[in-house]
Amino acid sequence: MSRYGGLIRWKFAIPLVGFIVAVVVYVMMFLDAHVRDAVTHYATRLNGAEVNVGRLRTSVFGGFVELEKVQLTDPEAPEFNRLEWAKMRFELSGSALLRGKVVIQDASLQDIQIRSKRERPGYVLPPPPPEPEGPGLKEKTMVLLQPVKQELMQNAMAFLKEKNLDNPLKDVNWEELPSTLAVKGLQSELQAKGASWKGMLGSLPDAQTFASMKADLQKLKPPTDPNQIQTAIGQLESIRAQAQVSVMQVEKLAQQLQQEAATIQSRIQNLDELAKQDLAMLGQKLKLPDLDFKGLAEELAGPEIKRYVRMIETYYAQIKPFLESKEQEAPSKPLRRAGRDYSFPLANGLPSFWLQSAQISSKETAEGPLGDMSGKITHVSTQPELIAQPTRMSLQGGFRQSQILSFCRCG
Amino acid sequence: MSGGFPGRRWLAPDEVSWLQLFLALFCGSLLGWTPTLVTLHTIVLLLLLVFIRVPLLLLVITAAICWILGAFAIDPWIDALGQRLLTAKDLQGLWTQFYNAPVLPWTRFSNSMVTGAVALALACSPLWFILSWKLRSMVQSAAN
Repeated sequence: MSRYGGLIRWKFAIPLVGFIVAVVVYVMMFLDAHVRDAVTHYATRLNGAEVNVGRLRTSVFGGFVELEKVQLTDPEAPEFNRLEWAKMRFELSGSALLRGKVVIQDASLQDIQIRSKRERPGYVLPPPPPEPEGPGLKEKTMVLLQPVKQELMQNAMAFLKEKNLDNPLKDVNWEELPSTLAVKGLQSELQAKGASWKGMLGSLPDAQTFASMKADLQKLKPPTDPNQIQTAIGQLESIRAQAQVSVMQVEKLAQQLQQEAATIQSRIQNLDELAKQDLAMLGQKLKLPDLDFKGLAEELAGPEIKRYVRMIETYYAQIKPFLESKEQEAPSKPLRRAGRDYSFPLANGLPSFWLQSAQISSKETAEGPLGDMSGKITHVSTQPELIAQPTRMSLQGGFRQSQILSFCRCG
Repeated sequence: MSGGFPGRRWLAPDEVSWLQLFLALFCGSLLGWTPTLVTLHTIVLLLLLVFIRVPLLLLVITAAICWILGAFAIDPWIDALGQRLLTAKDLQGLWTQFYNAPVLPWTRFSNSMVTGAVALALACSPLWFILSWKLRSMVQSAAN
């Protein structure tokens, strides 16, 4: 026996065998239960309310996953399910997978129900704290409704054009509108006021008057003779009286101008009110019905859209951290060559992708929008020439609540 | 007493067999020349290295040298070799069997670089054999 040791590390064999046995036992005995618990836990967090998974089965060698009796509680009405399905099965062909091909033997979702009644109300998770930044529900609703609004406007304009009503305001006499009349009155009044203000400003003492008063003041010398004191006081008094008269004139005019400016400002503000009167008058002339469109739109679509926006918001908030991609540096040129891929398909081999059968069915509920529907699609493939089977699609069912008892579409 | 060259014991320990040296050189060259580790045979090889006792330092150095050699010099030749093999008329039947057989497609043999790297490593086997034999003789003479 050499000191370095033989080629095989035998001491790893026992732990390896133990590890393999443990994995096999775990997969056979505990995997389904643990996956079911994990799915229930994370789906409940994502849904914001209790999610129940009746049964989960996986098979590594069979290549399938099956989920039965899945119920998603509606957080806004816990006695109902937001979504429920009886069975979901996804089966991959193991032998195809070993050949590097994806062959889906069965992908089915059976008995989907919306707003189905629960046996007992599900528990609802406390709502997450609101995020301070970003647009709120109202803004998101507005964004969602924006295309609808644009389409409505386009349709309305097309209708008016078709009825030669694309310029319905051509017969309106714009001169009669209250706001036009008020603006004209305001303009003529301002012109008259302007002339009056000019005259008043002209009557005010000018700079020369104040300069002469200043010069007179500078001429006054302190009297040296006591007899002249009385005369000097008289002169000073006369200049003071003259100055006081001038100041009073200026103050009076300033006050008057302020009052008139305030009046004009209030009349300009009043134009907004007059514009509303214009709209009412135009509406009467166009014979528009007196509809509260905002109220009507909120009544018709608001609660439903808000409900779905809230639902999407809840799911989005949960998956947002996973969607946010970290900033990645631009990939540098790889040092090694990528090479070229060749393919060597057999004439009767497997295609790269083959969906053999996919089924979906729904059940009507008293509250939900779905009917008793059933759809099936078979043999979808990336290389149809290899499978030599046509793609078939069928859809059948009915909506009893809407009196559509049955229909069928096959192709 | 350590003989040969400085650090020889790290690369080729005393009493190491020529097969262990050969496997270290061969696996190192295969890992170094293959441009990606995401192929079935490289993953299996890496797992096997847990159970096979080879001089790991020699393997890592061989892989590094081969990787650098590939990146800066011989990648175009590896690619050309792979393309020539994959488009050879005589081998089309073999490749078609491989392509439609289970498991083998996961080795990505249909990629010219992967096939070229494996072919080059196999082609260099006689060289690795001679080198490992010489190295083993050097180890033995140094030990004696």
